[in-house]
Amino acid sequence: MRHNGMFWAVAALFVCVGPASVWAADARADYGVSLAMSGEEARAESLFVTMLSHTRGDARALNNLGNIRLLRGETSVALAFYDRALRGDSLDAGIHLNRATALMLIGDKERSAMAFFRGVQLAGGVEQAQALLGILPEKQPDERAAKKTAIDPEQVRAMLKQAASAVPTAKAQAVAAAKTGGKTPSAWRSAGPRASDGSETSGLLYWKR
Amino acid sequence: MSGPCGGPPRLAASLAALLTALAMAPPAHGTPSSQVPVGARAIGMGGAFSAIADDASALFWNPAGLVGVGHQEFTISHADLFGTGNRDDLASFVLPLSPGLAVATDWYHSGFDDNELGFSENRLTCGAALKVRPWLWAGAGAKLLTRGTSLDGQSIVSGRGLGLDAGLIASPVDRWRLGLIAQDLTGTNVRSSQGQVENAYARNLRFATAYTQPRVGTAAFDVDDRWHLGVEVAPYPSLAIRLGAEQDWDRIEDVTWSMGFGVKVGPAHVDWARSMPPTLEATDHFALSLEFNFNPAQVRIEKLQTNELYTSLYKSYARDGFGTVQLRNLQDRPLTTKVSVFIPELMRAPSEQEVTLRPGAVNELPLTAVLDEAVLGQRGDRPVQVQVSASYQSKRLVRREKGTTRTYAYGPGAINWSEGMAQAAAFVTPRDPAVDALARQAGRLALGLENNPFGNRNVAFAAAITDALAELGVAYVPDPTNPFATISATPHAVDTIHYPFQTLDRLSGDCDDTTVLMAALLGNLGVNTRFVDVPGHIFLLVDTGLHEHNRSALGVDSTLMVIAEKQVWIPLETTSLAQGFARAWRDGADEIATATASDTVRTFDVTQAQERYEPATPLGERRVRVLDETHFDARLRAEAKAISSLREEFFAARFGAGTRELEATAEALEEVARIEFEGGNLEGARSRLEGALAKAPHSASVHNNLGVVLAAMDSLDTADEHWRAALALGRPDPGIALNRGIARWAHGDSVGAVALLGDAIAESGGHAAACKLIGLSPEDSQDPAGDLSSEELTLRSRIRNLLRQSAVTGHAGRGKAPASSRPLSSEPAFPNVPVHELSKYLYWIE
Repeated sequence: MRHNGMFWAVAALFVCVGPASVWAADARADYGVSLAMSGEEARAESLFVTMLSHTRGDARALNNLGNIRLLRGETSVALAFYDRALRGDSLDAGIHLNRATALMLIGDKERSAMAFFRGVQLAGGVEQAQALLGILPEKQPDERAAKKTAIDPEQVRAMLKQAASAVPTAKAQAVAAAKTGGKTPSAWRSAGPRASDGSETSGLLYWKR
Repeated sequence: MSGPCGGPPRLAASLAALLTALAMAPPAHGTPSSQVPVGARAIGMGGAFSAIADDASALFWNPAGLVGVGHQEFTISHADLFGTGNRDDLASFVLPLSPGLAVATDWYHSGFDDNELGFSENRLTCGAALKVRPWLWAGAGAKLLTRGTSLDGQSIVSGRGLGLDAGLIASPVDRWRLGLIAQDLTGTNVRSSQGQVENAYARNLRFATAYTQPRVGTAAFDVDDRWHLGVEVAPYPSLAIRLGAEQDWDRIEDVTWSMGFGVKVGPAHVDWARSMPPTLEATDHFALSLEFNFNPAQVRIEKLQTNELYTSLYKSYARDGFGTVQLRNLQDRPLTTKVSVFIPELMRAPSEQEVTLRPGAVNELPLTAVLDEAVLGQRGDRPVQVQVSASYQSKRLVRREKGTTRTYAYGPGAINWSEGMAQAAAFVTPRDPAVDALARQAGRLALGLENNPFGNRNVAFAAAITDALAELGVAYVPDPTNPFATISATPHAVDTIHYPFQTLDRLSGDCDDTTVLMAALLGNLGVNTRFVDVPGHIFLLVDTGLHEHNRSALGVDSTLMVIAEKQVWIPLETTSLAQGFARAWRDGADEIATATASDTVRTFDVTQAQERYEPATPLGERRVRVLDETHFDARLRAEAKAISSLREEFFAARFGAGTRELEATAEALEEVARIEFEGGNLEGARSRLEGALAKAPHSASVHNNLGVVLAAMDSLDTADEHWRAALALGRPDPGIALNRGIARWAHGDSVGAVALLGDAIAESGGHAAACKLIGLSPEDSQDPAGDLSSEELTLRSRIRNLLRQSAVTGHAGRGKAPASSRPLSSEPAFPNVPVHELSKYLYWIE
């Protein structure tokens, strides 16, 4: 009887507190994404760090913090955040795509292609991958608006299509695996602050909610 | 028998035309026609040929028929009339000049000569015919007649005179033709050299009709001073059999019967006819015809249909056209044809397109035309003539078929809403100088606001443009004569839209005017828009640039946005401009909600619509409106504050407590610092760790990790302080001592380094364990091949050697066996490597 009582107490606590805290985390992630995409990056960053306070290694917070760094032009730091986020959720296509985008920005075409491939593979196709990144499949973006973003949506689109068509060779995959497996420090390269308007560029990244 | 194109509506017109002609014609004398009939085919049908008249004898039977011959034809015929030795000969030639015009000439000779008495009559006729309408043909012929009589070879009397024939052929319905011929309209007289005048041919009127049944034959009936009835049956395409009868109305004589046949071999026709009068001997008529065509018509313009022209849409006519032309390819092979369209009032040069016409079929083609941009300078509306021609290579020469029609060209600004709301995109002129100047100024000031308080670039632009127009005092004024609500629902009603520069000049406009103005200004800033079509009204959606997945980024309630084509748009009521952006946004959302509830809302992407309705900017003077920047900036800031409050309210309502819980733990800051460090942002990592230290001053891990970051920043003394602090906090972690030793080695103190490292290696369990702590493989051979630079490999090797050397020294100090049996390296202790290069091999407490 006593054991049964404890069971029901724990169950009640789970029912009452568990979903509430899950809801709170979801709401925080959603709120953080809203803030980040509307240009309030500092508030968003604080919120995502708060999420890490609640859940260490939270892939949502780490991915989104990586996005904020990417928007600031700190591409290498962003890559580090994505790498860390993938440790928590290695099957999230969007994080792979973000990482691919960051690699593309620093000019690491080979690793970028690998990451795009992985992202497209996990997403289930180019269109799904584009949807994750908020890119409309066929719509031609406004020329002037496209120039104002740090990430060229056409370039990302092209990389996604290329990723869908060109399967990396086994050797290339082995090389990539060796690179990610060893304790290789990230290159200290920076693309510099490119974004002239974060609210535009942020729409081309995957925000994990 | 190919005849004029006809149909039931033409019946009344045909009859009216013929009756009018009959009424206007001089009365017949009632005397029998004294002209001898010609043409074996016509005679074989009893002279019932005036409604047919489709061969070279048409000049005699009905000159209107010449235009239906359709090819060149040369015919000679001969007869010995009634066996009297009176020869009757004819040579005739028809030449079509175009599908609607033909000319012909013939020479007729009749003569008798028994070596004593001689008589001859020569008649030279020239005529022409044209298509007055496709179903009504007209023709006329003029003839010169000479007669002479001789006796024993000496001329007794001779004379000459002129005559005139005219005829009509109409086709009230397909296969049925009506004909009217007035021969010798003025009564053809011959004046002799002695001055005597003789009426050679009396005036004769003939009414005729014919009906053709395809693949069977033709029946015809003519009436003048006699009745004529004829039938032609064609059992085979190359064979025709004819039968005819004729008689005077007063029946003084019996019926004259006739018969005949015709054989066609290639371009040649041979015809024979026998006429059998009741009293005279029968007469045989022979004819040989050759039909040929040097340059026949191979295309016919069947129908030309044009719509009204709206000069503001003039660019769209180059691609989509403004009407259609139906061309029939008369050949049994595809025919390449150049179709040319020219409107003299609106074009500088004809627009041409090359098409291939399907064989034997009617091909409908759009009438496309590149109008001159000067049409935007047209004042008012006016009728214009549309000229269409089809040029192609005929047998020998290029032929051109022509057609013309008229339509109406409306002046700039005119629009017919029943043709679709998307047409309004042609009035969205982002590159207009007046639009450009205002949009750039407003956009620049919007971007000048710190941290974009609107939260979205496109929303900021929409706010700036709306408020700029409010600042200028642009007001919504319904069109008093043609209110949009009325005229947009009236079919074929022509409304007027003002171009953006005109609305800016007038500072007022109807809903369509303000909508295209807003769309143009936003388009200038690279913001896409959509027209919203609701009954009796038009307003705007503004693209936020957000994918629908990211709609929450807008920070407003879902009722204030519209999802279209997976993108997030905000509605703007363009008639609420004077009340500012926030009000226009809310009013637009209310309109959308109302229209959505009644399922009457339609939207059109302006950019897509402009692919069809490309905008054109009228030339002329512009009044450039300039904003008072101080005043406008204050207005925009107030607007931004209102929108920002709106967003905060939304966030608070949606996320509740989440908006306030922004307290980060030291562990979280350490985690972020680690990533910053890996990403190379040492300053960021230091800042995070200092923040963590403020929250957890007794955390050994924070002290250690801060030491690592500081060491990487070459602040070795400060780093060592933190490491010592970490050790002082009692954390039994050999990695901290490893950090101190490696840093000291890098600083040049190899002796102190070895002592520190010796203890640390011993505490960590030996060389291999120490290597593992700092992320190194114990042996050089275990480094990943091909992934590290030679400098990196050398550095790794040196660190390993340092640890081995230190392990030995530490072992010697404590009298323990060395952890490795490998010989000690003789590498110099000082690494000559910057500390920040080594920092990646320092120990980080996760």
